[in-house]
Order: sequence, then structure tokens, then C-alpha cells
Amino acid sequence: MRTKRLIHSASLLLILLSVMLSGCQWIQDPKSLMSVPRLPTEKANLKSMIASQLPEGAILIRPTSSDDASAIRVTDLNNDGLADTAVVFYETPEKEVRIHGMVFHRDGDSWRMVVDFDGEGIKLDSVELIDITNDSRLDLVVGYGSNDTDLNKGLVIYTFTQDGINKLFEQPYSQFVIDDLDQNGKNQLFIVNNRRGQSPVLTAFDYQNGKMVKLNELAMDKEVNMYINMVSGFISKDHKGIVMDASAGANYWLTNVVVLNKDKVLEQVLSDDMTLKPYFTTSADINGDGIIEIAMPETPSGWDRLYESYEIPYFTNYFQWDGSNGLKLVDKQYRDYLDRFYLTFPKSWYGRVTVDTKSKKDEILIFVDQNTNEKLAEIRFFTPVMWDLNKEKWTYLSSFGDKIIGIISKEPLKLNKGLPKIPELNNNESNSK
Amino acid sequence: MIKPGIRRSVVLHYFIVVFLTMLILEAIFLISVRTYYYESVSNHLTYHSAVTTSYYQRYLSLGSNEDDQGWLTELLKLFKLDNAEVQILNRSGKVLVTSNEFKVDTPVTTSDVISALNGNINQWTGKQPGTGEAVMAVSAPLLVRGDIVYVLRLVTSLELVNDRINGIVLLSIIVSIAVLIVVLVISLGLANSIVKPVNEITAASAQMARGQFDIRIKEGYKYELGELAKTLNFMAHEIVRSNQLKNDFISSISHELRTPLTGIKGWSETLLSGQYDEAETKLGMNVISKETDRLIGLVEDLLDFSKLQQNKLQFHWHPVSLANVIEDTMLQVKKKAEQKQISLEERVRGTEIPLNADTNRLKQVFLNLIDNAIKFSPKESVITVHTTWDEEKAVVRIVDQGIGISHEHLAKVMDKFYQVNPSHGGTGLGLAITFELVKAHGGEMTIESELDVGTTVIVTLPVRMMPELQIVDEEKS
Repeated sequence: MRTKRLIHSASLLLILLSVMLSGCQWIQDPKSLMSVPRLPTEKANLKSMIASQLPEGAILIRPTSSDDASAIRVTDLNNDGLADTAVVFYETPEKEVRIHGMVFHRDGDSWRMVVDFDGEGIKLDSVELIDITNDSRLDLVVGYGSNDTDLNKGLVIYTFTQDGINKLFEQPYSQFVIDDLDQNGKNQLFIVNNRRGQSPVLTAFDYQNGKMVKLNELAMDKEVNMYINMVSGFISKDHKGIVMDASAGANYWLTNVVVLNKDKVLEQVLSDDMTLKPYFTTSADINGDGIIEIAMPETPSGWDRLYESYEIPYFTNYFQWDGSNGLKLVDKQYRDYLDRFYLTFPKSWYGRVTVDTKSKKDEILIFVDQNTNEKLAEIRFFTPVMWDLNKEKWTYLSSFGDKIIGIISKEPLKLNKGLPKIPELNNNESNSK
Repeated sequence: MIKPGIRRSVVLHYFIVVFLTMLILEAIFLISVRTYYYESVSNHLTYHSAVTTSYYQRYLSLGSNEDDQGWLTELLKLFKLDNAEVQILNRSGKVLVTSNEFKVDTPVTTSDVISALNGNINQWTGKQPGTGEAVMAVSAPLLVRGDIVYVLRLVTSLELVNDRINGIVLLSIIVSIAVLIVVLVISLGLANSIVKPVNEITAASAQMARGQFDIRIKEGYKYELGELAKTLNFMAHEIVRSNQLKNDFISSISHELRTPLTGIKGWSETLLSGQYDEAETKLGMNVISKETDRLIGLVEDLLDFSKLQQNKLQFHWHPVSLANVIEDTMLQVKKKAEQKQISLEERVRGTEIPLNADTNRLKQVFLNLIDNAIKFSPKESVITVHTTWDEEKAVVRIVDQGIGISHEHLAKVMDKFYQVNPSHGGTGLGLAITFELVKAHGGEMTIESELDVGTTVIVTLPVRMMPELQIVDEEKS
């Protein structure tokens, strides 16, 4: 009888307790129930496998200048349609060797670590999976760097083997590209090196008979301090080449364009004095036609000599290689020196547009026809209050900090990328200040 | 489970009402719980993206170099949110960088991204490709030089949230079921409180139907059931009483019939023996004739009554002088009154108006009433007939100084077969017939009486009596 009563009261207490406990959960903040979305099983397996193999204190790192910035790269090594290999890099800050890599192979549904290898340097600059050995299998190209971006970095090419990786090649580099420049279906490696006090060297390598063989090298302008930007691709309708933007001398910049000529020899197609520029501009395929343009600043007429370089509202001209030794203009833009906005001039303005010398780069810019002095367009920097008063008449261009930049023009202009803009959003933000 | 009946329908009604209520409340509750949880998560994501993108816009957007992955990786740190995956997409939905370690191969084109490309921060709930996990995503536009170049997308799993909501759903369903069970038990009890008395009353009335009228139902039930019990009890009582009346009637009518028959039989046997002279024979024949009259009167009473009961009595309507009728009646009973030395007085007030009535029936009414008065009046008393006229009706009061009727009998004297004292003789039909006849004339009849003081019978007859119904009846018959 007594035990029965005891059981009775105990169960009652249990129910009360559970109600109270569940009551506590009821008022749980929904935010605390959020969680990172799960990975698909395969990826989750791989991730937990990697985590189990990582030494204590190690963290996964991402390359800083690769197109693919993911930390874990899963790839189809042998092109059979099945992702079979994973590559990760990790950092052990307190150890002698800072950067390490791991390669995993897939075994059915699980992953197996094949190799844990030591990297070089203290920064992971780039990681590419690309076929450089021309065997239809991807190879691993890794750029290791230091804390100083100006110094040469180390390029290492690994090939994947059955039981790990094999270091194929190692070279210092400042910039590199891998491309099929002679369009023979095989990739080549092009490395540019800085050499202190000497001219930088552009070297072409090719994979032959189990090793990377130097094809050719080209000494660049001695004045070049370092190459900042290096891109490869089509430079004319059917020619591929390498375009390199560099800082040179005391305070100027230049662009080199290099091709592989008929004899598979590296050759510069433009003379250096054609591409000298007073400040750095990045060459790229600016108009999306698949051909790389060379960016060159132009001093608007009326500004040369009278003004300091920093005062001049430069235009930026984009040229394409004409196939021999010349350049042709394909695009003319005004780009803000702080990159706050840019606009593309219509073809009709070419040869006659300039900037009124009363203009100030941070306040007002008046584009005029240099022959008739007729105003073509005007850019003005407004405070939010002033913008509110003028926004009916002016077209929103950009905003930054507490400035709103507006434009009026006689002709329709392509502003920035020409994408839809939302001045309200920026406007409100500026107003809410 | 429960056999059909009140109990089942009561339980069922309770159950349905409570079930529907629970269902509606449950639905409202669950919708609000879900909304609360989803809104909270969505708000958290939206707020975070709004704050960080605003910060980015103001201080960081100039640093953007559109093809610099390293910079995007840095940006991830700004947008980082615990328990959510942070993605930066380009305009075509390609995931450029994500806080997750893996590359996302397929472009994202969910509604939140499209909305972000139109400049709005918006939310999307759906299934994560690859895992099918329920996720919520909030996307916000990232502007470079006023253009939407990137989209910030925060993705969080709703699995735990859904688990919690499901837990709440389960709990509330359990609570609902518990409530329903409690309601069932309570409604069973309630149904019993109705069904049990009904069953008891049914059982008792079944016994009554079998003739056991001494059975009485407990009257302590509440409300309608109590009334029902009382009514049934009253009914049983009345059945017993009317049985009694019937028995009394049969015995009195037998007696009434036998008395004249005895006289007739005696005299007829005497006369048959033929030893009497003419005078004696005449006397005997007179007696037989008188007694036969009495029998005929009795039988006629009975016939009248049964016709009245079946609405078959025929009336001959024509204008009648009420004063003449009363005068005739008084003449008829004068002899009887004189025998008891009772003086009959008549008084009239107001102007007489001819009534539409049946003379004989009306005469029957007053004959009966005055005869009764004489019957129950002591010797040397006065019986007064007051007639009062106004424009609408005639009121006739027959006042005697007789024995009177006690209060308990007063209500029943007009019932059929009822006799205050059955030993007095008579059928007990007189007053009942009188009452029915007055009613047939559209009138009313009431009796006021005090024991040992006297009785007043009040007959009210309307002046404008249009007995259409009776005429129709006549035509039919």
C-alpha cells in the first residue's frame, strides 16, 4: 500500500518535472535553434574525415588569389565523371612548417587520406587544378607566398599518383599563367620573375618526357619593378597572348603584351613607350568580347603641363592589339580615381571630349566639346540634403560616405556597368546618418 | 461503444463541439507558433544582412575589385553569422564564395536572390539542394558603384526549428487528446445525470401503463425532468380518480335505474295478478308511467351527455326571450319548491335583448340549476334568480341558501360523473351537461359557494351569439 502511494507520488512528480522542463524549452529563442545547413552525406563524410586527420590547432586555409576560393577542393581527377579526389590545405601557426596539404581519395562512399605533405612559405597564394602534363589528368599547381606581396612567391606543381603526390616542378614567381598560347591543345606555363636590379624574366615551360622543360625566356624591360597584373587569353580575334601590367622606374607604369611567335619564341608585340602610363590601370576584357583590352590613361586636352598629375581627371582608353605593332581604341571611359564610379563615353564623343579645367575631381566634373566648348555632361558631388533638392533633375551615379554623385548629360550614357541602380537605398542610408 | 440513445448523442455532441474547438484553436496556435519561429529566424537573418550590407556599402564598397577572390573571402568575415552559411553570389546566381569549405557548383536562382537583384532584402524557405534539408535563406543586394554586383545570401537550417515546432505540435495534440478524454468522461457523467432520471421515469411510467397506478415517481429531479415526474404522478392520480368516478357512476346509475324499475316491476306484477279494482289499477299505471318517465329522463340525460361529448347534439337556433325561459322554468319547479316551502324570487335589471339560442336547451340549463338549488336547499329558504343585462351579455345568478359546496369539491362539481355525495342519487351528469350547453351557447358558467352559507351559480350568455359551427354541424347531420 505504502509503496503504491510512493510510486503514485513519484510518477506525479515526474510528470510535473517534465512539464516544467518542457516549459523551459518552450520559451527558447528561435534564433538559438538556427544551425548551419547540413552538407550532403558525401561531403559531410569527407569533412569529418578531414577533421579527424587535422592536427590539433590546425585550421583550413583558402588561397587568396584563385578564382575558386573554397577550402576543400573536390575534383574528378581521371575525368570519369565521378569526383574522386579531394585536396585541402591547412595551417599550423605554431610549427616549423606552416602550410600543409592533404590529398584524399574516395573509396566507395568513404574517403581515405592518401598523403599529408608539407608546403612552403606562410601564405597560400593560389591553388589550381589544371592539366599541365597533358595526360588528361588534372595536376595540382600551388603558389606559396610570404607576407609581402611584392616578393617572389614559390610555384610548385604536383602530379597525382596512386599513393599520393609527386612534386614535379618548383620555381620562384611573381605572376604566372597557364594557357595554351600556341593553341596546340597543350597547356604551357608562363612565369614572370622579379630580379632585383635586373630586368624581370618571362619564362615559358612545357611538359616533355616526364618533366617541365624550359622552352624559352624573354628578358623584360629593365625599368620594370614588378608585375602587378598578368592575364592571358585572346588579344586579337585569333591570337592568344599575355598582357602584363607593371610598375616601373621611379613613378610610372607600363603594359607589356607578349605572344608566342611562329617559332614558339616569346616576343613582345608593343614597344614599351607605347604603353607608358602615369598611373596604374588594370588590363582586362572590359567590354566582354573575349579579347583582352589594354588600359591606358589619357590626359584630357587642356590639362597637360599646367596641372599636377594628381589633379588631372584622366580618361581611360581601352585598346586592342591591331595584330601587328599598333593599338586600336575600342572603349573610352572616365573612371573615378577612387573607383567610386565610371562612365563610358559614346563613340560620338571620341576626339572631341575633354574636361573643363575648372573641374575638380572630388566636386564637379564638366565634360565639354573641346572645339565648341559646348557642355556634354556634368558630374556633381552632392550632400544628401542637396541631393534631395536636385534628384529630380540629376541621374544617380553612385554614392559613398556622405556624398551622392549625380550626373546630367545631353546624351544617354552607359553609367558604371549599366546595371539597374537603386539610388533610394543609398539615399536612405545617407539620410539616416 | 455506447448504444444509441441520449447518452451517446450527448457524449457525441460534447465531443464534436470540443473537438472542433480544439481543432480550430490548434490550427490557430500552430500557425502562430510557426509564424513566430520562422519570423524570428527570418528577422534575425534580415537584420544581420541589413546591418552588414549597410556597413559594407558605407565603408567597404570602394575596396571592391570585382575579380578578387581574396577580397571576397575577407568580406565573408564581415558578413559572418553564427549558425548560418554565408554566401556571396554574383548577378547570375553563381556562388563566388561561401563560408562553407566546399565550392557550390550550381547557381542559385531562388526567389530571394531574384528579389535581391531587384534591390530588396527578401526571404525564401525551401529545401536545400543535395540534402533536401529545410532551409531559410535571406538575400541582400551588395552594391558596387551603385550597381548590384553581388548578392549576400545567408542560409540557415530550419531542421531544429521544425523539430521544435513538431515537438510543440505533438505536445499540443497530446494535450488536446487529454482534454478530449476528460471531456468524454465529464460528458458521460453529464449524460448519465440526464439519462438516469429519464430511465427511472420511463420504468415507473411503464409500470403505470401496466395498471400499477399506486406507483409514484420521485419528484426531486431538477427542471423539466421534475416537471415531467410531477405531471406523470398527477396523471396517475387523475386516472385513479376518474376510475373511481366511473365506478361511482356505474353504481349510482344502477341504483337510479333500479329504483324506478322496482316500482314498475312491483306494480306490473301486482296488476298482472288482476285482483285490483280500477282505481288501484289506475294508481298502479300512474306509478309505472311516472317511473318510466323518470327512466326516460335518465336515459335522455345520458344520451344528451354522450351526444354532447361527441358534439352531435342538435341545436335549433332562433331568437329567444330569456325572461320567458326563466319564467317557464320557475313555473315548472314551483310545485317542487312549494313542497319544501321554498320561495322562488326573480329579479331583473336592465333591458332585455332577445338571445340567439335554443329554447329547450336553455330551459334545460335553468331547470337543472334551479332544481339543483331546490334539492340542496333547506326548508323555508329563498332561491333568487337575478338577471342582469348590458349591451353585450346577460348574467343570470341563481343564489340559494343551501348546504353549499366545500372548497375541495368546488373545482370538480362540473366534472362528469362527479358527485359530492354519491348516496344522494342522480347520475352526476347534470352540472356537466349544463356546463356543456352553456358553452355551446358561447357562454360561461362559474360556481361560487361557501359551506353552510349557500351557493351562487353564475351563467353569462353573450347577446351576439353566432353559432356558425353548430349550424354547419346541423347541415352535415
